[in-house]
Amino acid sequence: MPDFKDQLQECLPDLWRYAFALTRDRHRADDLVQDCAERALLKRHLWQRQGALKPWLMKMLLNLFRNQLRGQARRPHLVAIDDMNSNPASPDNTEQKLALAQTASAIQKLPDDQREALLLVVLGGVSYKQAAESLDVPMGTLMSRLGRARARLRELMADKPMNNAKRAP
Amino acid sequence: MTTPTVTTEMLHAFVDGHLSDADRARVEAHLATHPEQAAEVADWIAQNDALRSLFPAPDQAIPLPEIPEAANNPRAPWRMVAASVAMLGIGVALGWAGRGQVPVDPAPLDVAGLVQEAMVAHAVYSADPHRPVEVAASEEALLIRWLSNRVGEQLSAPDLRANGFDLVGGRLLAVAEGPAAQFMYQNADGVRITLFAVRSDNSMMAEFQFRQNGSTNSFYWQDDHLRYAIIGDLPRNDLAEIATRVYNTLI
Repeated sequence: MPDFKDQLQECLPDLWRYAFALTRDRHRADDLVQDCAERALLKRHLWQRQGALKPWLMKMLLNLFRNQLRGQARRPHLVAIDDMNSNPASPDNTEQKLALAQTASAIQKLPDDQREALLLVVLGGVSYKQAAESLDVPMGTLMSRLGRARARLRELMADKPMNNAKRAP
Repeated sequence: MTTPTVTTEMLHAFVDGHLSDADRARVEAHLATHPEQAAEVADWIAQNDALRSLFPAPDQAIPLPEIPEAANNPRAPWRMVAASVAMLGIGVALGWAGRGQVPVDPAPLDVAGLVQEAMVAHAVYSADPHRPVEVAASEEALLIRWLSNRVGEQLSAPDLRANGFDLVGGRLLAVAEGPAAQFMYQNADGVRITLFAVRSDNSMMAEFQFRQNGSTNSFYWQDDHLRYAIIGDLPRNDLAEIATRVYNTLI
């Protein structure tokens, strides 16, 4: 039987990336992942060993995030564009930076359920089946949220004057 | 039409890299003859690329947190996590309480006064046989909305059924710090506990404190937004368990 802690450890990078995308803040992502991992360790007996561990963790992370959000509804969290792009993966091209900032702002305009689905599929390192399980919705609902999220993002980006920059390689 | 069976789901799976080689080839052939869909798919790919650039994978290994039962793990705690501080706080508070002491409050806040007010409200309303709450649990959504508006922070009434306590309802209180919410719960034996919450404008670390007043016990804690007290005529350990659940629900 693979050690629970080893499996948990393997999931942490994807959990962190999803948490980072949800919170848009590295420190909050750190805290969220630590809370989630702690809770997983404390409640490991609730995990059904037949299934993959990651959807169970993702579901927990999302619940923690939503709880936090409810608590902080009156205090919008602002992240400077410079903070968001201060990493080696960022393009150094100004136009691309602007396009990324536009994507970031467009993402925030999506309804929560669509944003959660899209970010999970793209950044969570999960299959569609696992994503549906994580979000506790049927597969058809996941695909429909994904489709609407992508269509809405296209619309939002098409409205922007810089929309041609996003095609840059 | 080279491929009559390319579905929207397949286009998504193509973009997300979930297709087999054979299906990928089919989608590519399909897109070659369907420029509108090809443009759509290209945009989706650009969206994915942008998301991956915006939110890159962590650049450092993430250690697992320390938990009490893993105390033999030699790794040092990676960082202070509010939850673990609070869990520790319960233990510490229980330890102190066991010696009949009240923890020293380092904050300039009037914790004792606040808890005293919460305890008085508990005594007054939990003993009221006719109208213990203003809004009953049957109108929970209304109750939450109303109290959240008045207190000025989003509140929630944690589910304590696992501890045998059902939500009775809640009421608005006026305390020195301003409007406060009181949620009342009751178990099958008719024992009532109340959860008290008032807005807090400090940004202290979460902390737990235990108080005892006759047979009435209470736990107090605070976070960035709210200060809480949970009060009940329950044994300390039972109340500690409930306080932990409430804390974990509300973080």
